[in-house]
Amino acid sequence: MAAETNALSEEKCHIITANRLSDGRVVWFTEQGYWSVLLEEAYIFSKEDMEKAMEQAQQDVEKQYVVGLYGVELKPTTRIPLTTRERIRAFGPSTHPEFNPRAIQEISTHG
Amino acid sequence: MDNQTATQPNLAVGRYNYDEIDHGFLQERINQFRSQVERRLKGELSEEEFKPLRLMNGVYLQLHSYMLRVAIPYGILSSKMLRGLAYIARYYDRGYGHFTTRQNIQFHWTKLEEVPDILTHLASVEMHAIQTSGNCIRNVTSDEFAGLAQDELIDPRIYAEILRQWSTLHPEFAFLPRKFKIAISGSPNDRIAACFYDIGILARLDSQKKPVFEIWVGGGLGRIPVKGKLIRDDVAPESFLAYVEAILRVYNMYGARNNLYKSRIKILVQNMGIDAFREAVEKEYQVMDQEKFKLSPEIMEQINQRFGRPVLQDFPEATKILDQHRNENPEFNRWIKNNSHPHFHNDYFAVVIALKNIGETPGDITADQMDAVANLADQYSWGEIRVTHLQNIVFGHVRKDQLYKLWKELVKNDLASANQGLITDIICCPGMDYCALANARSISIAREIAKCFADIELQEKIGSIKIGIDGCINSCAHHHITNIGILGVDKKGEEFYQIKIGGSSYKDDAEIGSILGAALTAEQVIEAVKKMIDFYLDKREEKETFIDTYRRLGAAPFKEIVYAAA
Repeated sequence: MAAETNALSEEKCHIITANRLSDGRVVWFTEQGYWSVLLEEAYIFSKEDMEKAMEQAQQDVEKQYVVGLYGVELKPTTRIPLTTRERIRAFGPSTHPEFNPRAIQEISTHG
Repeated sequence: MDNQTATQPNLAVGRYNYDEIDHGFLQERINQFRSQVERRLKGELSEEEFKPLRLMNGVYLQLHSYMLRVAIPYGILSSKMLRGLAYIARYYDRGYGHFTTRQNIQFHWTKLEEVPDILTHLASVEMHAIQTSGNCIRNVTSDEFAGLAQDELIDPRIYAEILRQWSTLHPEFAFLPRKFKIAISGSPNDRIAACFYDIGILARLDSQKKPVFEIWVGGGLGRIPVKGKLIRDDVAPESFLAYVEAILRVYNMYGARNNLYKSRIKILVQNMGIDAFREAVEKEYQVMDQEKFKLSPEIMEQINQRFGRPVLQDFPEATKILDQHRNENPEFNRWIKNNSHPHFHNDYFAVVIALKNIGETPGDITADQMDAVANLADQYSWGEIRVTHLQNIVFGHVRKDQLYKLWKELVKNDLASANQGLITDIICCPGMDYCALANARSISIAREIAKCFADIELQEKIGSIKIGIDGCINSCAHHHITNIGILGVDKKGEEFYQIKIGGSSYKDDAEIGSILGAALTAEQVIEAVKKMIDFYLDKREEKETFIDTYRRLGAAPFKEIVYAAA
């Protein structure tokens, strides 16, 4: 999964998310195979690649790094989740903009 | 204040004070959970195995984090407890907590690895998170004016405490078909929404003028809202626990366990019919060992002795001084008019500290505000704080001449909203900003509606009205039984809102609202509320409240006004 392959396109609009086991924080599966609290670090997959990627990510469920693994669809050619629910998960509660993960600058945990 | 004398100065006022057995039990439970958390983090327990264990300790995995729901038995806190909650908010969470409609408090940002330490801290102030989740008898709720209301016949807190002790680790009821919620009041006038609980209990005087309990059963909200049925209206206080036990036994025996949506007692009562259900309960009641559950005077006294009580002092000048302050300060006068409640002692009032500032989240309280409230409770209300199912706080016993000083302190701490019972006193669940079950945000709708009606004079002109906003059909914010109920629904990943109108919470006119029409967008639903209120103000007759006008005119004209231009 080279960096240049992580470009936005109509075909590639899927990312993988979970919650970190130790503290429950929302995390996103990255190109390097670790989990980041920052949505912009999520690796974007095509629908076809998702099955294999989910298998890889599932290993981290088994290793007890994360819980509640699933795929999230993005708005085409953007890094914005399609559903309101996932946008709230990604950017924090709309009632507390200061809790946006980018604002908090939490440190990613390796998976 | 020098007049803050309690019957037993070493005991916190208004609530049961733990003894060694209680402390030992909690410590044992925390040790057990600490070990379970450690095993989970090491991978020795899977999520599937761990989930029921964490839920038994009030730990949910929500959208952003683990949420810890802490029980506030019958809604009463001591100042020491509230300071303990402030500490947790400040050092383990993000500086605030959220009071729920079931008199609990939730912390939305806890870390699983820290939960055992949080529970240890809670135990040090006689609190826990047991019975706040799972298919057990949940934290018992009560009347926020218990022990002070002028119409009270029986102090419900003693009975609520008995229910708490009886239900905690009850061997038969640890795994019921579904969760089970009990509310109890010692007054005939319903302030607990008795008809909408699995069991709702009110007091009344029998023909001999003796206080007895009337017991409502099979009420509930959620996906299938049901008004409960009166099962008995003559339960003697000493037989109260035996009768509740008999109800639970019948539910445990016959309640559905194969279908999540049919497993609440309301469905069982509906399916059996109240007469057959009552017959089954009576049969169980007759064959059970009633003596084992009988609440003898000795048992009652034993529990009663663990409650601290305020010694209220006569102060004949109190009302005169209060009136003088009211005349001098219109803002204070407004706060007293809207936020005070009569006390059985004429020189005292109960006052509502509304957690409903315009544009803020209903029920949220910061750690600093918790500390401030705790300090003020020590000064003005025997260190006792009550949490209401309407997500506000009550000081139960404030001498009238002290109210002005208290109010000035509340103003300094941004806690003096004079909107209790008005349109901005909105009940609101956390919604999709936090909750994993939610379909839509509710807090943002509550904040926007409140902003539309920020003018306190307009709020007073509108008068008494209740709005409940839920992010899902589970109905934590009671949208089925508020005058205007708003329910968030999901349509292909986007938020929409359904309006219910005409709901009412309390026994004498309890009613489930009617759906007004098709779901609306967030912007539209806020406009719809404005239109309905404008219509009501235009059409109401003298002294009518919103619900009165709705009942006179019916839903049709409200529907027309909302959907005409939508």
